[in-house]
Amino acid sequence: MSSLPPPPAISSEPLSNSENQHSDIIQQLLDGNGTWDRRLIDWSNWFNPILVKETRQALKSRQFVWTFGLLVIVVLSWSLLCILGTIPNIYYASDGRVLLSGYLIILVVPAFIIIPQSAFRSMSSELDDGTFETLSLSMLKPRHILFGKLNVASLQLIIYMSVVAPCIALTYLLRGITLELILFDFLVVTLTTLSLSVVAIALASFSRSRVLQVLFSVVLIGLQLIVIFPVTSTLIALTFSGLSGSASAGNSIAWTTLAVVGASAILYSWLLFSCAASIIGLSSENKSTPIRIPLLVIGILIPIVGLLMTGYFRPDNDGRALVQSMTIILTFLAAHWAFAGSLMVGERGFISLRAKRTLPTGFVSRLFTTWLIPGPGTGYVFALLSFFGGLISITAYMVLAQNTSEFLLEFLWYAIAIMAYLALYLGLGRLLSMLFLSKMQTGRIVATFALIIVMNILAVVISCSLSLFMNGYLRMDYDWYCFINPWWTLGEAYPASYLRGRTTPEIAISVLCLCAIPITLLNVLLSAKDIVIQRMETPSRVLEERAKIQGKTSPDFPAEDVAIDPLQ
Amino acid sequence: MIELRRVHRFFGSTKAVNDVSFEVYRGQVFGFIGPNGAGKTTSMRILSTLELPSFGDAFIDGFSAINDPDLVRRRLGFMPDGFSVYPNMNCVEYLDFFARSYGLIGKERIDALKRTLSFTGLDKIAAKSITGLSKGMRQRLCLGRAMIHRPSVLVLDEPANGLDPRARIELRQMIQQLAADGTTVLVSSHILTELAEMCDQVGIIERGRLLAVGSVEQIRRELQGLLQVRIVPLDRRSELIDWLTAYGAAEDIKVEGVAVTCHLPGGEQDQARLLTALVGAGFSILEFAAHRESLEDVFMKITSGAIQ
Repeated sequence: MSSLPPPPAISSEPLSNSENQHSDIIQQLLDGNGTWDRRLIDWSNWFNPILVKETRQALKSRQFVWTFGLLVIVVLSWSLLCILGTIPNIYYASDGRVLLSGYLIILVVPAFIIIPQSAFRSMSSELDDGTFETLSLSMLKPRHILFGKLNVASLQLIIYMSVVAPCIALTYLLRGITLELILFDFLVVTLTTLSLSVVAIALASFSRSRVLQVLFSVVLIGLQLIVIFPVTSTLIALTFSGLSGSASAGNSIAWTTLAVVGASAILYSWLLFSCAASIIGLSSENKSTPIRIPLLVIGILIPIVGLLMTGYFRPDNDGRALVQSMTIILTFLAAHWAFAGSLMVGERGFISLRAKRTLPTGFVSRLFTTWLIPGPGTGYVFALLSFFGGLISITAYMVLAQNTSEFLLEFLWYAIAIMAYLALYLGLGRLLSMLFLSKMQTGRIVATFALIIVMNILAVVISCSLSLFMNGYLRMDYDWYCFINPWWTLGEAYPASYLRGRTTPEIAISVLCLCAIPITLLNVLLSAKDIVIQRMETPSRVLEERAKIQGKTSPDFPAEDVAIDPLQ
Repeated sequence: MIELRRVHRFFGSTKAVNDVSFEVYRGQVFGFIGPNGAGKTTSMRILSTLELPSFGDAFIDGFSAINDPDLVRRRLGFMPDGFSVYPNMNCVEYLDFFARSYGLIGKERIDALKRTLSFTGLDKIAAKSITGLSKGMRQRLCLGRAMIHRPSVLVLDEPANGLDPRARIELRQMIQQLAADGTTVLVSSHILTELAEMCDQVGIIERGRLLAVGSVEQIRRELQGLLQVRIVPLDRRSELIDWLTAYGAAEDIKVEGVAVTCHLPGGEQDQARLLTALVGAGFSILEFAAHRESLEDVFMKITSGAIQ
């Protein structure tokens, strides 16, 4: 039974040929077949391992071969069809636009549908098949894994673009389009594909059960369908109108809208990426701070972009229009912080020892980064303060702008109401979460979010029922007791009384503030628990070990976790 | 070195792991034995940083699995009980991917791959697709993946599950070789005899509680302390029974076919003394055999078979 030879001892020395008869084959597999293979393998040391792995897999997969082959056939067919259709006029007609539009339509199918879907499948199969656990045990951090998946999506896009590129070069020769236009179209396709891929990867990271996976795949398909039509139409419209176009106000609005949509896509992709990295990260890691940073950046950019756009498009200083713009910006900002705040107030008030090691220590650091510390209390104050900062900037702009004084008071009532609703509902959500959901180990954030939505629905139902009851079930009129309904109150308080001939519901807003103030104070007092947590020093042995690793590791593998304290 | 310190893990009201503590030193093989659902896999997952304990902590080379999971992961190779594969990859590509994921680059990576392929015996099928591998070969590949970065600790969850006898023996030899080279191994298995042969220490766990820890011999001794003796006399069997009863030290004397069995406290000295006394008393002995309880007997004795 024990006649089997024992396995050879592990040696750090490479095995010689005499020791291993298969070493030639292995050498060939590891080193490649030619000079270029060898060079590529050398370069691949600096690539993300997931990119290398998935490229190898894709080269052997039928799906990629079919997609690539079909794309080549369709692109060539389209080129031939167009050229044959215009052959007598080809030397002088500007048919480039028609051809380019066709190529773009062909390209968006793999770019907007296949690439995000394969990113989703790639990530969800890692979680499904159990390969993610073995992968997460390696030195790859969550961001490396997600970047790897994103790199694969980028590479696929490059490959698909490279199929279309020679034909587009032909289109350029056919006249009617400019190089800038081609580059701009490619930029839009790239941005859209990568944003959709980030969404796909994030959704796959969130789907830890089969039901969620099916649900999110449906959500992704829906999103792809929503995105594909407007983006493709925009691309075709741009192809036909050209980039320069006329300098009309409508044209400027279109460009600015495109810029804002593009910037939003990048920023929200960053946010989703951070969320996905946190979800798949280590359980004891600080998951909240890396999400709060993009939230803050978006929260800062909303009023800035809004004010810049307003300044750009309303040079005539029309007071009414300015108030309307400001109100819209404020509402967007409130929606952003209401959504983010509803998730933050559901956080568990527990900070692991590992996360405590990254807490700020110095006075200035604590002053500026305390609200980035994980916890429902800090989350509540963070959302309120951030919104308040935006509100102050917008109000300051209003005060400084001309011709707005007659609407300023109305705007202020609206701003106070929106701030009070944020404070009230987020505060109530946090308190109820503390009372009833404190024992939940997982899903507390989602449960708190759902609780706040339920509170909102109840507020709508109660206020409408109350109004009907008070008016003898004949009609629904807004009165002060409807203050619990944020939608109705904000609709009534919308600073456009000149349009509706109504007055601001001052009493309702005052009652609302009376309710919101104690809730806010109670929450601020309770948040002290989250703030007093002190930084724990990292043991010297751990520091030494990290320093040792840092000296040894390749640049792609940071050995130490990034501290959350940006001022240190 | 591995240390589990008062580790608890609760899933609702179920105590999957309940106050488990033990230590395994460098180069030792520790066997984790327990029925299904006893808490073996959960304990291993906590040690491997894949799960957080509800209370307590696990350490590898002194680094906490909760607070320094990144440092623990560098030292750890984990082989789960299920084998998950990537499609469209061969053995070399699979190992190469994990070598890259552990930050091995250039010559270091190539050497690691050659070493691992050679050690696991996968060098002969390096270019073969993973999906076409037999169970035994897959387990080798999985072991190769776990040890590609030369971890100081290997955690193997049911590595011999579903393997044929030859593959089991080969796997056992690989584990013993790794331990001899200084790797600390924590291995769980249902095949108790196998664990008894390769483990320096075993831990018996049931319903989340560690019932016994130590070497197989130690546990046997602590639990029983009695030798089971089987004597086949040429004749005078009834006289032998009387003699043994009068001898005093023998307990639980029974007749089993042609043999007389009894339990004898103490060790080998007492066993020799009994044989000398028997011969001295003029009995003609055809067969005299003594054995302690096997690991299976001990396991059956300790565990109640209850599930949670």
